[in-house]
Amino acid sequence: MGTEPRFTIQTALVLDALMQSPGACGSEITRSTGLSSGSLYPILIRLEKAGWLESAWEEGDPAELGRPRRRNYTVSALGERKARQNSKALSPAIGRLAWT
Amino acid sequence: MDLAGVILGLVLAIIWAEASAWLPALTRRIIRLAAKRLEPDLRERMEEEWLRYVQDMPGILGPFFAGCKCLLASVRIRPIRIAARRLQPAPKGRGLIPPSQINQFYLERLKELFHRSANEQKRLMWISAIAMGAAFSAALYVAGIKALASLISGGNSP
Repeated sequence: MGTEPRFTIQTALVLDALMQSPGACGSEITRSTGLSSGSLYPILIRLEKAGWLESAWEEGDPAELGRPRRRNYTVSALGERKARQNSKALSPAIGRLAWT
Repeated sequence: MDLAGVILGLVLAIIWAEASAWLPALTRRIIRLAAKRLEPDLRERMEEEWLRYVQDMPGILGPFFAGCKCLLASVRIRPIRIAARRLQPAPKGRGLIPPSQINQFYLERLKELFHRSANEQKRLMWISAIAMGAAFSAALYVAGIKALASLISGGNSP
């Protein structure tokens, strides 16, 4: 586990999207949050390093699937707890957060 | 005039077919370049993940732009990881800095690192912006010529 990541509005959006649909991949998170890959992936890497997210490859061999595999992300128990703690501070800014 | 329209249409179709064939390969190269910029333990994973990500983008230009943004992502991911690695304490017996100056030393290193990564980020953002601008202008140009060709052929049809 790394250092504590900053809890920004984008971070909250990503956590919100993943709590709504656990196991979503990058493109699905982009669709639900509107964040492009340039902003999304640094956030995903930071959160995963901090232990707030867990990720795993979809099952199957890329050769058999005929395409690259998806990486599916889920919010860990720690991530869920941190999101609930921090959402109180951000909830006036984001109407979508309804975890409190 | 009809012949000119046909030739123009043909040339445009060839240009469009070439662009459609080259853009996926160019996007793959951009993603490989982006993945190469990362730490070794992330390279393979992010390359596969980004290749999949761009496949989910709609259209012909969508994956290309998504690939360019992955390049930006790699620039944003890299400084965090390098900073974490460089700030590891020196191995035992090799610490040449007196304990009283350690905080100052790390502060200076952090400042230097921040300055460097900011400059690098700025440079890469400019390169991405120029590449995106060029691709967008090419698309507009092709669309404009197509419209002109249809206008010419439409104007000559009985």
